[in-house]
Amino acid sequence: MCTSTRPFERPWAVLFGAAVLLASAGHASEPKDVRSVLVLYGFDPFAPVVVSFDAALRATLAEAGLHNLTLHDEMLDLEALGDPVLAPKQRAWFQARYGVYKPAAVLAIGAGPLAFALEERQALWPDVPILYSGVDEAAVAEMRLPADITGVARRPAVDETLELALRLLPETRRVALIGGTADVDRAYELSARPDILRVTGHLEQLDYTGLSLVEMGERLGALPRDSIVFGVSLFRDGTGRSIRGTEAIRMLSEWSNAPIFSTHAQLVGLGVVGGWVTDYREMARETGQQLAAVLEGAPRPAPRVAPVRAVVDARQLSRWGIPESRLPPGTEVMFRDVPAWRRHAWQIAAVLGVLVLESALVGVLLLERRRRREAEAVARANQERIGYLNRLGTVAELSGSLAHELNGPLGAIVNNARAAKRFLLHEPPEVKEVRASLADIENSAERASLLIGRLRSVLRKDDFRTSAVDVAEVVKDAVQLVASEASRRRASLEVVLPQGLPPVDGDAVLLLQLLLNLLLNALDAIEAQPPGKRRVSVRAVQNAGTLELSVTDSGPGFSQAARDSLFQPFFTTKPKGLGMGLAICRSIAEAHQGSVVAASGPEGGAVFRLTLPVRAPGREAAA
Amino acid sequence: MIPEGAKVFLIDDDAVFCTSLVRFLRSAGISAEAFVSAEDFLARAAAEGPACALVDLKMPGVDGLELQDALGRLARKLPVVFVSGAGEVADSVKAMRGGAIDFLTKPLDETHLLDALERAFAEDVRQQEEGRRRTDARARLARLTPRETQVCHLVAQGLLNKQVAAELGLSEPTVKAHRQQVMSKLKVDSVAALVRLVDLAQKAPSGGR
Repeated sequence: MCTSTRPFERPWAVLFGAAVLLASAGHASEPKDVRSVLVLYGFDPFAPVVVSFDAALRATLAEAGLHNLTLHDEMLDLEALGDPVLAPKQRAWFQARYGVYKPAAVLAIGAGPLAFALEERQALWPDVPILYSGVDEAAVAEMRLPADITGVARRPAVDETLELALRLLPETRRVALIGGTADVDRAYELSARPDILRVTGHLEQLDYTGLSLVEMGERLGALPRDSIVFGVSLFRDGTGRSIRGTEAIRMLSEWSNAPIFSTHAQLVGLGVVGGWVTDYREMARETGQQLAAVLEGAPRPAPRVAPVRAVVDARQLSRWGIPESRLPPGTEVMFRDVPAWRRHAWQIAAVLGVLVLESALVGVLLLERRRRREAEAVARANQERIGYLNRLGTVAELSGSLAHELNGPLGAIVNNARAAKRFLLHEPPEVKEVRASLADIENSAERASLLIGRLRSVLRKDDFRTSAVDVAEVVKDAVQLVASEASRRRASLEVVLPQGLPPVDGDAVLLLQLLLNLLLNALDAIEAQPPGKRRVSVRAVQNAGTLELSVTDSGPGFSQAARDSLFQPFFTTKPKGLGMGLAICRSIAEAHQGSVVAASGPEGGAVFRLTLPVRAPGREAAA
Repeated sequence: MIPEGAKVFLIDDDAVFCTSLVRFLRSAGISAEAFVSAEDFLARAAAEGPACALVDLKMPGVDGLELQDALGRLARKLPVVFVSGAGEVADSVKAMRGGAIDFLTKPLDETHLLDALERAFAEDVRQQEEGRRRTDARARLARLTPRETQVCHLVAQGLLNKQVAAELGLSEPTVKAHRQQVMSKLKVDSVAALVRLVDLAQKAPSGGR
């Protein structure tokens, strides 16, 4: 884009003057059909205003069909032009480069480059047309340009800008002027003064031009609220330091206690309220059209002045409390603080969506939690109910043999009672026989009552009750309950109970239920075996801290697949089974901090091992 | 009426129940002996006078129905009265088909029990009597010569002398002589009595031995 001016690597700036400039022109080399245009800039080629000017210019040239055109952007060191040592070197460099390869046209942007281009015209690019752009209207007039020079001038709309300021802030009592000490600064200030006075002469005038940047900032910060600030041009401050205006204006605006107005378009958005500014895009477009016409050999276009338009920064309006209703019609409001929801509609929608989803999720989770709690309560109740139904089922399964069991003592009671009646009627009454009958009646009644008590405890409906449980008693009860069923099925029932087993913590009824389930399963498992091979054994073994009860059968055992799902609810190998027995066994075992596992027995049958923790010795008394 | 010297064999695995039932039967004037298993009973029981078995249907080892089966294969067919818990209908049907006198449920009804035992004893007496008569009939038939036995059976089938003669290739007078000898040896005075005697001797399930 640009070849920086060699030896002069001074920074410098652009500030208030997008418009400073000069021009000169070209070089040509390159193939014949490719024409080149030398574009001379006098300030920072990276300034936003230059970039947008350059882009608009190239777009216009392309639109005009000038595709075989090369734009050589050069940045001129304007300060070097007045330097006895540097000026000749800069000239020499341009001569070296563009003396041989003459450009088809030279476009000077700003008064400085235009002056340079005119000065070097004879030496560097004698017959090359020169155009200008962005040169102040006043400067163009002053330079008394040759008739063949044309271009687009710029008009600093000082009066319109100040009028706008006063329109927006009618209460204004004073106006402060800020500006730099560079030549261009002074030139601008001078040309602006008459307009300033004309428009704001009735107000208190404060002149801060020529101060250091810091001083300027401090003064602005001390301004009363009914003031306005007008910025002229600021390339160099009172300390002699070159300033990049775009940075300076940010700082000054931040410090200032009063709104700043300016005619420089590139400052709008950096802290000034606004002003009537040159439309650089339009200026570039007109320049491009002129350049195209010149290159095509058309009659020299007439000089023009770029249009100006009112531009304000909406954020500054709101900062100073200026209602938009005071803006003149047609004012362009930039950086309008579109309500957040419009500026970031997409993001806000997304965030809102996320929030809504999140809330919904939270709601769902809360609901879910409640439902889960309810479900858990229901599940617990159901589990208790299923446990109860399982016990009912156990009792039902045993009912045949239990009835038989109960009928024994009941029948004996009846027989003995009748015998006693008859023996009393004998002549003489056989008192000895009657006494024996009554003793047997008592025994049988107790036996029946025990059996019924055991049944009733199995059918108990209430919750888990913890106490010290004598496992040996539970085993005996269970064996008693299934004994007649076992004999009915011609199965032998072996019980191995070592003496002095320690108690476990738990619910005797549930443990009884567990054992009954295991025993009835074992009896079912051996059903298909020949009568001599129907064996079920119950063993208790004490290990360290645990008690192991095992129920072994002589049945066919089970497959690995069956073993994996044995304890799953509704898993059953019995045609009429519900499949809850072992699932209940496991939940009872777990409720006792124990476990129940299935394994293959020594003779190929199944072994179910119930492991329960032994009751802690210290708790014995509590039971 | 319970016959003189009658004895009940009680077979039940519930010793307490056995004791009480034996006591009750004793109070009712009936002699009873208890066994706690069928095997025990089959090994030790011996009956002189009228007897019957009161058997618990469900027992470990050999159960009631199996015992009934075993008893049926003995020379002396002891009448059986079954006792069971409630509601074993299928078993009761099998028991009755097997010739059981009755099928009682616990707790036993006093009258029902005594009635069943009475019928059982009566049956036993009848069977004993029939057995005795059959033995006698067989003994008489055994005294006949082979030719007389042939004539006896043909007459019992209702053949006339002429027909018997034709069947056996004898003369009618010869047949007549054999027939008189048969009537005399069997101590019967009519053809009808002869037919009954032959029937009795042949009817026994255990055959003519």
